[in-house]
Amino acid sequence: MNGPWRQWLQLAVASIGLAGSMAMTEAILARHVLRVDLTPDRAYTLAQHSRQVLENLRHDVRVVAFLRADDPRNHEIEDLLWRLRAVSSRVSYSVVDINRNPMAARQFGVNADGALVVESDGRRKVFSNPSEPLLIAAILQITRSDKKRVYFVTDHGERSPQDSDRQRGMSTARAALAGEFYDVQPLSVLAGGSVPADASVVILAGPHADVLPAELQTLADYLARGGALLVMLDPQQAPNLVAFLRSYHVAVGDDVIVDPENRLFAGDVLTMTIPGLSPRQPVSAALKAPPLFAQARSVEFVADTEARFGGVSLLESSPASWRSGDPDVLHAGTTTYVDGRDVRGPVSVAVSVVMRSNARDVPPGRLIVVGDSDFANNFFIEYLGNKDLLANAVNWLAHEEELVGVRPQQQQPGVNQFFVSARQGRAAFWLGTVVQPAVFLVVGMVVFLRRRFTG
Amino acid sequence: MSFLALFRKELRSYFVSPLFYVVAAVFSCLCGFFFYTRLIFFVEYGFGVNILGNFWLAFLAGAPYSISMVLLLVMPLLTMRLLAEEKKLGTIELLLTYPLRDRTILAAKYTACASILLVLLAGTLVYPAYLSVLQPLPWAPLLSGYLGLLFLGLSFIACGLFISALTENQVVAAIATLGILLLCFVLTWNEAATSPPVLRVLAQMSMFDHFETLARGVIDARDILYFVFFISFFNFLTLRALESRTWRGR
Repeated sequence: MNGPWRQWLQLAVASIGLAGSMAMTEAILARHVLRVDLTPDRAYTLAQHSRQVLENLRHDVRVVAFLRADDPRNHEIEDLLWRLRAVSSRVSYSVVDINRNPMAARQFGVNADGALVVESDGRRKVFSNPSEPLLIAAILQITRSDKKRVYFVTDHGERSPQDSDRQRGMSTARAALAGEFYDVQPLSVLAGGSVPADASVVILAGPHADVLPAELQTLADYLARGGALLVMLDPQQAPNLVAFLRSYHVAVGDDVIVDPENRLFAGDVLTMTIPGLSPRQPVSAALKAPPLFAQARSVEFVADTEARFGGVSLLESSPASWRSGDPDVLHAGTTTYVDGRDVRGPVSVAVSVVMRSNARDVPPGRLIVVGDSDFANNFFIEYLGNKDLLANAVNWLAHEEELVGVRPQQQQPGVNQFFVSARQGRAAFWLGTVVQPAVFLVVGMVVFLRRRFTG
Repeated sequence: MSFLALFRKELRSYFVSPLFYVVAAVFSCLCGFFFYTRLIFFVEYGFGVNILGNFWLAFLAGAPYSISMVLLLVMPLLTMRLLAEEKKLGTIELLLTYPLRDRTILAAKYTACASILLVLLAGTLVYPAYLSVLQPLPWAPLLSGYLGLLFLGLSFIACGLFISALTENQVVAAIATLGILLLCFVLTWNEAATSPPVLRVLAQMSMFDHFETLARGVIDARDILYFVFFISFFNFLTLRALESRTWRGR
């Protein structure tokens, strides 16, 4: 072979060789992270904690992402999954177009785009709005060998996790906790019954009747041996529980929070968002949206001079709110601020308490008290940050901090956000759209005229 | 004639041509308009969330209102004349008779056009400069985005130079370059028509998917290598196209 044919052949071979080496290099790099993340909060680099979780995986994990073809988040989600796989060969992932493959979506119980299914060793967790913290938490949950148990006390008219009634029931909360990999069971502590040894968390969800002294003693014993208790207490209910909580330096007010500014649109005056999320506690710091409460009472931590209890306020109502001492407010559903009777906000509506113990083999007991139980009922739990609040509280009480502790980076005011005035916006328009192009045109005109008149 | 002399000649030909100033004015006008509209959009709809990074991502890489799209439209106008004009005027024969290697000719033309690209991109720095006057700006991710724009532009030049080497008609060169680059842009827009494995390969080939990572503020070896390969591949083809005149006899 000679002449042009030989040249064409050489050209074809060289082109294929170059393209092939490019594909090969890309394939080799597909499993290695060689990158520099220049974003201020290193948003595209896995956190050290995430790397530890992935490096210590004992089972294979499969992630299926259900995305819509034109979703702008796709590139970011796929990049996150790629970073996970690059750290651990035990992780594999696939992306399914939910519109093109609705059967696969139904098979996994997924009905919305942006959902992720994480599977391992026969266990599965489905969640939406994928992010690194949620994904790592899901992997942790489905790869854990033990399943922790949450007990709901049922003797005093509390909301039941078995009840699917829209207003009274908490069956949705039970499903949410099952998704966090907890086994939810009812519990009776009546007449000397004790809290089972396998209890990770005990929940009192809105008791109506008073809790008997013997039962309170059972709960106190449980906390003293390192137990964890979540109390959701509605206004004007279970007064002796208020005294019991006082012994843990938690002051539950005989009041109702009123906030006309943050009330639910078209709702009653006592149903409001709680915008003050404390950054000092993982339960509230990890919330992406404020919770929505209906008929809440104040719950505050009273400073402990003996330092036996460490407490933090989790949630506060807005500065426009107040604690109302109006005894008829719950029935009337409306009230106005009265000097002397009412106290201006913001008002703490949830606290966490850690009991300090001197005994080495006894872990510190944990307590969370929320001044409302409606937020977790079947009707309200799907609103705003309610489900996250319940899940975070249970995870923190169960010492599963990694499930709530991996939080998004705090915003840096003035760096991550920006605001421009109308005048600055107009200046941007004139600068970019008029002045700069005009400079190029004027220079071009000068050059053109000089060439024309100077030859 | 050396590389430097040829480079100077090429650069001068840009700066004395009205075409460059019209292209630069249109480029900066469109970029300025998109900057303004994106800015207002993000300020109005992004209140209180972490959006500054997203703003730059949308302004640098987001289709269709971004610098990358404007670059896609104007670069073929700058590359169309590089070799096609020489062929049309017959000066290519003269150029090839100089004691210059083909790669020197290619390097001079490529570098001259890359310098013009730098001028255009430098003009767009007025936007972050303006915003930095209003509030503190994280420059590091923005520089990564501009590195991405530079690679994108260099890839456009490599592709445009190759097409210009194949034809003597500048309009054909511009349209063909635009067509190829647009194809690169929409390579991953065809989810409905392809299977997921094919789509994954297309995503690896998509210039804009690689650029997007850089525009986010992440310098990834895969993206850099992709652009280096893309540019090398088209420059290699351009060299072969120049060489082929000798063995094809025309």
